[in-house]
Parts: sequence; structure tokens; C-alpha cells
Amino acid sequence: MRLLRAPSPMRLTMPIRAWMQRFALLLLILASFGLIVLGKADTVVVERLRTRTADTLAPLLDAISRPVATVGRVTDEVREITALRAENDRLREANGRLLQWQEVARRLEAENGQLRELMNVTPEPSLSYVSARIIADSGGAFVRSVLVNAGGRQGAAKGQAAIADHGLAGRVVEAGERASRVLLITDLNSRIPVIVEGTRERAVVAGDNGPRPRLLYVAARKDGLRGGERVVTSGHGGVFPPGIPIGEVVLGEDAAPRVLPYVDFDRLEYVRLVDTGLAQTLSEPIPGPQRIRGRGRQ
Amino acid sequence: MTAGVLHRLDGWARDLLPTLLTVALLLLSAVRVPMAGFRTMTPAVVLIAVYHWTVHRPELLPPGVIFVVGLVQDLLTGSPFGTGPLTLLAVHVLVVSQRRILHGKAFLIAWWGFGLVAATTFLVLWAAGSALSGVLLDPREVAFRCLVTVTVYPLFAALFLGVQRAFMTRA
Repeated sequence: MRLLRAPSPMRLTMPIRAWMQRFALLLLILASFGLIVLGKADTVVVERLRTRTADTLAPLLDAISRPVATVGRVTDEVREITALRAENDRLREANGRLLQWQEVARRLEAENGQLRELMNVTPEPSLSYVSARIIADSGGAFVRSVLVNAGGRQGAAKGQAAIADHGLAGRVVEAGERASRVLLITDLNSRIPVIVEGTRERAVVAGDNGPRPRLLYVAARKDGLRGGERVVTSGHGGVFPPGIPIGEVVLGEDAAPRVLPYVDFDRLEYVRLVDTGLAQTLSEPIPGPQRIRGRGRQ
Repeated sequence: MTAGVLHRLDGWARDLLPTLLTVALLLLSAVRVPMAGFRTMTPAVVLIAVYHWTVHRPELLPPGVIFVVGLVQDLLTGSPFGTGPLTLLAVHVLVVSQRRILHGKAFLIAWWGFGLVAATTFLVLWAAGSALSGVLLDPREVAFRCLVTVTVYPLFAALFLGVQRAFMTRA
């Protein structure tokens, strides 16, 4: 009976509105697919969007992350207090050993300086540092990157190395005005030219999102390479200064050499961005196959 | 007159609560906690928020808002561009289609439903992430995060329900 009556305008708008809503939903889903394609195809636009977002949200994230960091630190401290005595013993012992090493290092430094002078070696370019606090973390399972609260204004630039107290943490991949993104060395897309200190052999440290990045292209696979050897940046490619420690070689059960990083990524709070003056070489998009260009993106 | 305007403003503010809470959780989840093991334990709280509000008040968290939230999440975390809005919208579609089963029933049913939705979402995320990066990602980590997210669900659901009871009961 009711169906036979002429529908009022209100009744008419209801199905139209429902239809419109469904249409909008479909459009949004299609737009998401479009964004995935855009993210794969045009990395420059996406990168600009990312830096813009990071710049806008940086002050807010900075404010939120401070108390959160404090809470995290307090929990860690409580845990540490229980192991205080053992830690003290270990440190005392380490301190004695390190004092000896300091002596050695001083002597070598002086000797090195004299030899350099004798040989007329070109001095390494001087480095400058920018300290930055980590304000956000990618968190997800796919990316290993962090946002830091230093951008172009503070002197951060794309391509700079990010160092934590013990070694290399990553590389600046996007630099905004007041925030930058650092791609950690454990990320899937991270490739760093290195030297194995004992054998002076060149290799590449390649992240795979796991805690221990792989050590690729080592020629002396089993004979020369020993576990525990230090791996440092080689400076090849002109992006990083040479000699930044990265980690130690570990030989897994599958005999594939990996690197145990010196940086504790769980507790990372501050990084120093190293400006070599060479970083700008990377800011121009590198021409080449799509796949390689896509690497620098994340 | 003023009372009417104030009343309407008050209503708007209450209607904005789901969006505001979701955005706040998005920002909070991006913040880094310098604590051992925290990286892998971070639950996907935005997923919880989208699920909860779509079950209880879908009209207050429309697809447009979900899309923007997903987009900002991608931009902020640096995850593959576009996967955030896609998965969150998929959650919306899934929940809306099953809303009759999920809404107004026992809490355990909502939790169970969330488990299914979270498992599907993480599976899609893992597949998309693997396809987009060209490498098979470690499924254990994704599974673990999914488990953590499902485990903490009641906590956030309780928070949202509390907010709903306190501010959003229709007078």
C-alpha cells in the first residue's frame, strides 16, 4: 500500500544519499589504489608530501615524545638498578682496559700526524655535526626509519650519515625544514659500502628489516672472514665519511655473514648527523633503472 | 539564541570525538618509546579505533576521514604509500557488511570479530608490503604484531566505551 503512494522528497533523498555514500566509498578505495601506483611511480611528489607532513607535525610529535621518552627511560632505569653491581664491575674492568687503549691511541695519533706531515697527505675534509632527537618511529613491519627533529634550518641535508654513540645508525633520506627522516641500516632498502677492518676487504652492508643486516659481496667467504671482526664505512661513493664503525661480523648457521650493529636500535634516542660537505651529491635524483631509484624512497 | 548555538556546538564537539581520538592515537602510535623490545610490540591502535567506531558509530567516522587518517599514517611512518588508506577502508567495508552480527552483542563477539578483521588486515598488509618491496617479508613479525594488537583490544575498547558513555549518550 505504502509503495503506491507518491514518495515525499525526504524519502527520495534517502536512497540517493545511500547511493552517493557508496559511490564515495568506492571512489576512495580506487583513490587508495591510485596512491599506491603514484607511490611506486613518482617518488618525488610522495617525498615532498612526506617532508611537508613531517614538518607540519614535527612540533606536535616533539612535544608528545618528550614525556613518553621519559617514561621509557624510567622503566629502563628501574631494570638497570637491579643489575647495578654487576654493571659496575664490568665498567671498572672496561675502564682499565680503555685507559690503556687511550694511551695507544694518543701515541698513534701523534705518530700518524707526523707521518702525514712527512708524506704531504691531503687532509680529510673537516666534518660538522648536527645533533637531533628522534621524535617518531615508523613502527610498522615494513620500514625501519625514524623522524628526527632537525631539518634544513639546523643544517640537516639528504645523504648525511646519522651516528649514534657507538656507530652508524642510518642515513638521511628526506630532509624538510625542521624534521628529517633517517633510514636505519637495518631497513630493507639500506645499502652501505663498507670495509672489513681486519682484511681490508670491501663489502656492502644490506638491511633486510631484521636486527642483523647482511654482509654482501665478501670475496673471502669462509677462510679470511672471522666472526667478531669490525665493519666500518669505506667512504666509497662519497656519501659517508670513511671509518664510521657499523658493527661486528657474525657468521650464522647458514654461513651467510651478517653484521651485528653497534647501535642499540631499541634504545636509540639521539643521533648526530654528519655533514661531510659531500652529501649534496645525492640530492639529485640518480638516473637509472626504476628499481634503483625506488630504493632511496623509503 | 546563544543557548541554541552553544547546544549545537556542544553536539558537534561530541560528534567529533571519534575522529579526534583516532587522530590522537595515530600521533601517539608514531611516537618512539626508547625501551627494549618496544619496536616490535607496538600495537596497531589506529586499526582498533577504526574498527570500534565503525561497529558502534559508523556515521561519526565516515570513509573520508578514514582515508585521510590512513594517508597521514603512511606519510608519517614512511610505510608504502597508499596501503594505509586501503587497509583501513577495507576494515570499514568488512565491518559495515557484518555490523548486524557485531553491534550490540556480547563483548566477546566484538573481540572475536576484531581478531578476524585484524588477521585479514595484517595478511593484506604483509602481502602488499612484500609485493611492493619485491622481497618476502618476515611473516613472524607481522603475526606477532597482529597478536599484540588483538591482545590489547579490550583495553582500548574499554576506553572508547567509557568515552561513549560519558560524552556521547543520546539525550
